[in-house]
Amino acid sequence: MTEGEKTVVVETDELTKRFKDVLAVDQVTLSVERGQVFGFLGPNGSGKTTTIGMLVGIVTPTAGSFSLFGATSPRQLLAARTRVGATLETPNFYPYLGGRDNLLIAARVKGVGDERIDECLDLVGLGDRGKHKFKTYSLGMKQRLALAATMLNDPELIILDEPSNGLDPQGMREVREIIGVLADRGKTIFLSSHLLWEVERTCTHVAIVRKGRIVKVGSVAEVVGGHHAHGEIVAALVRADDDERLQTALEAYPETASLQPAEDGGGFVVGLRSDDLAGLNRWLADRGVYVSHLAPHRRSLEDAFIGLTEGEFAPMTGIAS
Amino acid sequence: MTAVGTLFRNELLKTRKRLAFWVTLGLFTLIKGGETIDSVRREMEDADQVFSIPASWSDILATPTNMGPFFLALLTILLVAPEFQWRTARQNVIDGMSKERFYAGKVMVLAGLAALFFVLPLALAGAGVLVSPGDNGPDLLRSTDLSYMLGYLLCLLIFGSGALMLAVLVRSSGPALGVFFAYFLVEQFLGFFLSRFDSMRGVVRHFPRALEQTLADARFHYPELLAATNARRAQNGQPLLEFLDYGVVVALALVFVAAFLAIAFASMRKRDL
Repeated sequence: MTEGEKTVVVETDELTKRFKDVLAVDQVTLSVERGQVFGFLGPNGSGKTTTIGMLVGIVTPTAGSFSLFGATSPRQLLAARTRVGATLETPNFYPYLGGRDNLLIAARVKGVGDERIDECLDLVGLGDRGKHKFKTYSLGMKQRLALAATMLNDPELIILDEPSNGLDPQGMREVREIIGVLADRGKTIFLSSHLLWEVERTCTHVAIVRKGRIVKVGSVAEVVGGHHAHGEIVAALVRADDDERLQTALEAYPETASLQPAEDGGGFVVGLRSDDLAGLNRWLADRGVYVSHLAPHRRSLEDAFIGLTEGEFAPMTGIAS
Repeated sequence: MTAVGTLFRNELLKTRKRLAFWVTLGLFTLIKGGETIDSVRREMEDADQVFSIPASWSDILATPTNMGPFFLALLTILLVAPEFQWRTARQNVIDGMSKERFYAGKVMVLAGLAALFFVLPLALAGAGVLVSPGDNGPDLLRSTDLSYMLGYLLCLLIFGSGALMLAVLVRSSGPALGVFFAYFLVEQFLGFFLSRFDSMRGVVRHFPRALEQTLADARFHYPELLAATNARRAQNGQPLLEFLDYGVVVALALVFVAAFLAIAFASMRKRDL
């Protein structure tokens, strides 16, 4: 067993896919290590599914290369894919067959014994609906059946494309719990999603993709914490009883790097070039603005995502750079 | 279990639980079965209405050669094209099946259906002959009967492989069926158009539908039927009926079957799912 076999499960090198005039995936380079829960985050149409399609063999790359468990040749990749469980976009099953028959077909393709079928159906809560036709399932049940299918061969790598699509809040929670259980068992999970909170709650690592290109990759903490616009080193949430005077004072503050209204509850999120919040408080008090709230503001993955996929934080007029 | 065994069991499960399979097969059985019952009944009522083998092979095979290929093509498209609509072809590959193996499974389905549509009318006719009162000849099959049976098999394979190709290329059952039936009009139009040029007049006889019609025509296989037809035509001052050489028809039919299967295979390998 090579070193690569031990640690790197998925590796892409400038992976590219062009559909006629559309560059769907543009030189994507990433690496997923064993045991990681890797979030592949991007807006709809950003190339997530196409990238996964290349990994699972349904889309032929235009350029670049990739490996699964160190395998690179078509024959090796075919063998490597027996260690993968994957589902893309919507759950794909035969509508006129029951859930159990659908899993039977998948199990035979994967070379798995029938005994795993009931176990996997029970795991996703479909044990008593196995004989019912797939077309009678709700979208949530279809998603759960897809999850059951991915787990049939007890895969080392699980690739899930938008696994929460169509699920109600309870269903989403169950999917998160299943992913958590799988991660605890040491499985490597590659999770594509446009749901920021889902990735933030579930993943250890994340790649943010925009228009087919990876714009940021790393641990969730790195991606969230590493995003500072215009040289800011800390952000603060500031509230006062007079938003107009507060905004004027914050815009005039020499250490302000960025400024945007807080999402709810009024006030502003201000990006600062120094971490001297006491200095900011004095500046505001000297201008007759008395704050009701002043605290460091932890950026969410959503902040990072918006910044990275739609340009940097919203530009504020009158801010010195 | 071997890879072929796995493929076979999966395709069998998918096919035998498809309503379209039973409806199509049931309809075909009903038509051919009804015809057989009618033949037996007529012989029972009128001793001149012979229903025995080998004398009746040309009648027994007439209906299947004209209908069987259409039923097979329809069913092939209905069984294969939805694999792309439902994206189950994609899921099979994601689950670890190669595209080549997936395609092999579909060829297996085509071969199985062709065998079914070939054997079923023979079995029904055989059952009918057994219960009919007439005496059968000492030879159950003559060379002309075998030729007609081979013709029927080739008709099934031309239409079946063409349907498989359309299902893989078009990837949607409705439009694939539309293209399938539209092709007959195209070939007819081409025949009409090319007949205006002396040097091109015979070309259309080499096209798939024309070849299938030749192979399905009992007069192509039974010289006595062709002689009777031409005698009538001569009396009426009509041009005599001529067919292409037997070897040419069979060879061209096999070339078309191979070409259709090869095109479908190349498309399956090359295109993304």
